[in-house]
Amino acid sequence: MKPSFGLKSQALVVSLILLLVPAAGYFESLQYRHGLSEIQQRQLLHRVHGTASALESAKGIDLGVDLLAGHTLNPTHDLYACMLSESITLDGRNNDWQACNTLSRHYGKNNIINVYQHYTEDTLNFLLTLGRRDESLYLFLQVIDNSVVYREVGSLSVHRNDHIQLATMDPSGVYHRYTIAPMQPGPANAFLVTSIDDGSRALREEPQIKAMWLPTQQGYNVEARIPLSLVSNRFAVSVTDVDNATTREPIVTIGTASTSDPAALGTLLIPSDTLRQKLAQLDVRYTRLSVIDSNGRLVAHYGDIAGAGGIWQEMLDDHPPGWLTRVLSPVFALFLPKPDAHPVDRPRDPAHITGTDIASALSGAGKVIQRPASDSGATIVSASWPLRVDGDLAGAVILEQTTNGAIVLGNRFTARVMAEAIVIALLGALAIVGFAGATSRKLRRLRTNLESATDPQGRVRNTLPALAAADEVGELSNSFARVTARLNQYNRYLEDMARQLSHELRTPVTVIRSSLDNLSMHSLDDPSRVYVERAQEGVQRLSTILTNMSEATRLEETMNPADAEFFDLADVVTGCVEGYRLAYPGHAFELSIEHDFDKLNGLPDLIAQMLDKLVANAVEFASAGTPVKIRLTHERDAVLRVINNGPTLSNKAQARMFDAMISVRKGQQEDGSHLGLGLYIARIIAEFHGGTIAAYNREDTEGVIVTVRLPIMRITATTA
Amino acid sequence: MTYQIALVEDESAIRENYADVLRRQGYRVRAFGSREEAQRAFDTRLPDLAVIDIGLADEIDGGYALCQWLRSRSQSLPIIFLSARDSDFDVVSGLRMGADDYLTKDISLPHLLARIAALFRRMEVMKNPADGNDEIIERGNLRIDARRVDCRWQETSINLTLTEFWMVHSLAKRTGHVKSRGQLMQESNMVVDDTTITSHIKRIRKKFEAVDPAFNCIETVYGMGYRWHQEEAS
Repeated sequence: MKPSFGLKSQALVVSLILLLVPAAGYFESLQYRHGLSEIQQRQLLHRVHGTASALESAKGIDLGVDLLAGHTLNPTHDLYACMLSESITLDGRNNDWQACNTLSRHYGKNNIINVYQHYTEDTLNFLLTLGRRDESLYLFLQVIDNSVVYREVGSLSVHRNDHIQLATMDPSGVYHRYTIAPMQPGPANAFLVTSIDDGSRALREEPQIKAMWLPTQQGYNVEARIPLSLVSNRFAVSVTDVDNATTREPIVTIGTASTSDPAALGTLLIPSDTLRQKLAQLDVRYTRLSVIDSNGRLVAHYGDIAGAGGIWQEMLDDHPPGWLTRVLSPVFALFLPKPDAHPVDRPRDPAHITGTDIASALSGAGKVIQRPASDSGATIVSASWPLRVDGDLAGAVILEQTTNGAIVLGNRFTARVMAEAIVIALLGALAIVGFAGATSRKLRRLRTNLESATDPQGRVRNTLPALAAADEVGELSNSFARVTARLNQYNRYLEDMARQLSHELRTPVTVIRSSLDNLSMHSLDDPSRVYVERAQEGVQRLSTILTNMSEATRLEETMNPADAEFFDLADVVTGCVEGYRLAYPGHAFELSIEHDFDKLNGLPDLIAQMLDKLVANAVEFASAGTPVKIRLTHERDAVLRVINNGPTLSNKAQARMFDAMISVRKGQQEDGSHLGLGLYIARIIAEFHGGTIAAYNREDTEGVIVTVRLPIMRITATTA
Repeated sequence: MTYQIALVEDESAIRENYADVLRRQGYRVRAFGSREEAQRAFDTRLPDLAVIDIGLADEIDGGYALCQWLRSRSQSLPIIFLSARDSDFDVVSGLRMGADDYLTKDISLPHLLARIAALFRRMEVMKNPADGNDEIIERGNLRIDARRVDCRWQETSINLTLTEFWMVHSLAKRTGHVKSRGQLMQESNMVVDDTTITSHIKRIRKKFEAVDPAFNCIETVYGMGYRWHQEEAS
């Protein structure tokens, strides 16, 4: 029988605890990842500090700090030109302005510079976008105007029609005002106009400024290019609307600031290319480096956050993952965080970059933070450091990296630790299960030995072989061996008991018997003689009992396999039954025999004796007038059945009726000497011949069948 | 003359009972309770027959030792073991020690007396070989002299114990006639069980086979008993 939950299964369950090893490895690696993240932040803060120092020591950095000293940034007046990503074609369309479209600013009724007639916003409003590309400033105006009025052909006046005015201080600090007022849609020139009056007169054409005027459904678009040599950091744009082509009276002027007053110009921040080049010279790999002014406007940036491991890249390159990690990586990928392969992070508003780190830097203290990337799942580590020019806070330097490198490195570490832990756990589990298997094998062998040590009746068949094991199983086996040996001794003692008893009783019986014999030899009166005779009968019976009691033991002593011979079982049975017909004249015997047997090897005397006992038993319990049937059949074994009609057996009796000293059937015992040894002797004989004996209740009628199975040709000894 | 019988038995009640009955039969009886006592007495004079218990007081095998000691003094002294032990092993051991008969204590006194008388008769016959031959049975190679308690096969004497002798005698008296175990038991004055009869028969066959390997005159009739099977040709 196989145990339902064996040692091996138990060991398997126990070894589940080894799963804690990879688990512990996993939690340990979390610490490591946390450490990586800390290191990255600290490193970045350290680097941004260094970068800021490097920039501060460099000459020629102008962040326009003087312009804005004590001045709060006004998004209407203070303009920002963003870095254009494509070269611009002057066609009046803004499809090549993508990088800067988000920075467009709307001007309308809140930005009126002058109003001459009744104005509603439908009359005029516009979107202004500024950008830088190479050495030019680009301007894009989307004007909504219900009626576009061009300059009269041939008119020198440039103000009695819809027109654009640009006001700037050139790099040398001289104020200039330009008007774009074309006579028809298409390419247009700009005119330098007088700076004092309302700008109605064109002084000359400014050929460096190119523009394109494109009518649209709502009004018109103007796209213009101004070389940076004409522009500095003061700038204003205004649009004047004229709707009546006859009167040509202006209705309103809307703009970033008044273009006619040099003092009223707003500021313009153009991203610095020199600074950008300077940043490029700094060896800051795998990082995006930005410089902002004190108002959070991006002055320059260099580098990219995408596709690199940040400060960990070298480490990643130097320590590729091991084969085990690579093999197990699909498993780990299930629960380890994945780095974002294409991190995208754009400042939402280059004209106003925000963040707690930046706020801190702009108030004078460096800071590092982690934040999610703007347009992807990546996490950005952002470190900012204040940038001082001539001791004054001029802006800040920002260093940004993704945490991808840390994630990859952390994943590798986790994977390695867990891979090793899994290998260790597997080896451990293997060892435990193997050990349990070995132990259970030993135990099974012990069990087999133990079970074969006793027969179904519980008698010790053979002593237990001691297992050659130095451990507790060996001890157990030795202990079992001792126990079975003791049990064997006790069994022998019990089996010997009958003999011992008969031996011990024999002496007092002899005393009684010899005394009675002596007495009977004297001349006795009749009554005394009767009593003496009765006493002698009793003693005779007692003596017979004692003899019977030791019969089984004596029988076992005579059963010597060396005496076995080949004999014809059918002959023995036939002869015996003949004898029974003589011995039991009051009973009928029915014999049926199959003769096709090989000869049986054994002791025919004993077989006869066995049959004697079975028949005596059957006769004893047979109902009056019923025959005792004896059948010998060939069913692979030789099967001898003795069948009677009579009282049936209880289950308990069926199991025990062949034990010594058991008398299980209710019945009258004629001689009183019946001690149940007969069937026990029958069993001993059957077992000596390698057979079995069993009793069953008849199914057809009340009665009992005793069946003896004897294996044919069982060689117990070679005989001549 | 009156025979002197030595009775060595540690159980005084049995000893006295046996002594009484033997005396009543006209024997002179000397009874001893231990081996030393008996040996001291035998040193001065040997009895005509000794009845010895095997277990003597503290000595489990005291009877065997005494038997050997007596045999060393006299080869012809009849010795009977009378013991409570009835196993085959004990019987064989006792007879190997040189005893003439081995009886279990179940035996009734008349049976015991008969066996003792038989032994004395054998002694007498050996002293006077000319005595009559009315008790002689001859069956082919077998010749049994009941008075001398002598059994011969092909002129060779077979050394049978008294029990075995009476069994052979009983079988040979009526050849071809089956003797049941019970009958054999009765005629050889034994109170034993079937198993003992079987082993006695086995021993008798072996003794005959020792003289004549072709011996097969004792036939087992399963379920009934044994019979003497006369082979005229041999």
